[in-house]
Amino acid sequence: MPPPIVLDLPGNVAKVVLTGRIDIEGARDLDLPLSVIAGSRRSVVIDLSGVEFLASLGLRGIVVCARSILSKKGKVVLLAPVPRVEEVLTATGIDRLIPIFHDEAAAVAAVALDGV
Amino acid sequence: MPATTSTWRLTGGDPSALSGLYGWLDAAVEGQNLPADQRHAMHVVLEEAAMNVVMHACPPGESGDLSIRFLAAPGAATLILDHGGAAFDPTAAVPPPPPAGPAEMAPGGLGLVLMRRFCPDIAYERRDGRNRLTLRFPGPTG
Repeated sequence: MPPPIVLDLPGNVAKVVLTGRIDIEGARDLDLPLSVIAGSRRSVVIDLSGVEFLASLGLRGIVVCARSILSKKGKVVLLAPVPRVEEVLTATGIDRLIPIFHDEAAAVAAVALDGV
Repeated sequence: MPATTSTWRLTGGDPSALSGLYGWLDAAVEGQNLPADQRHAMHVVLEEAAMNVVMHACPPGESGDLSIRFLAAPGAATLILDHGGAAFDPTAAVPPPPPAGPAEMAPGGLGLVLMRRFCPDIAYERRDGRNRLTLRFPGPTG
């Protein structure tokens, strides 16, 4: 899958844009980039609108990244998953800990630590 | 009943050998008139089932074989996984409860939840030292 694109938004928010299939190969490709993001950012919006497929291996990478950010008192949310991907997130209960937003402004406001 | 079988040579703990899994499934179901949502469900469940074999049934660093068969019949699309690794019955395993907080947000165990969500009929059999997991889905529609 293409490497994630990281966009800097007001409020010191990082918008991480993921695209393509987060399958076995995609999850492997994401390990390092997500680790770097988890180690360097505390306000993160993970944009899933371009993700076509997500299963447990990809979820694992997102969970590890989110848990690292949350352990540093940071904030992370998910943005605009397509229905099939959202079903995977809700079925596993991940959405209870990493909230899902479908509106970007609301997602950014939810994670901004420095105000927007 | 059309059938397609593929055998995968695996190394325990290394999922990279499974990277062609989705392409194989797409080729196997081509022309079967399966709805897109069902093909998606089969992708999710096959990934989980095959990953269970690589990560749990096959010891790290050791080799093993995984045979996957696709069968299509009116009203039923079936995937059968056969391997000689350690016994693991996903129909008996207890999935973890939904995480209650970040500390409980474990990255493992989600596969079982997804298998049960996306496959309505899962059967496991251990016979002659081998494991057979049968995953039945609705369709084809005709």
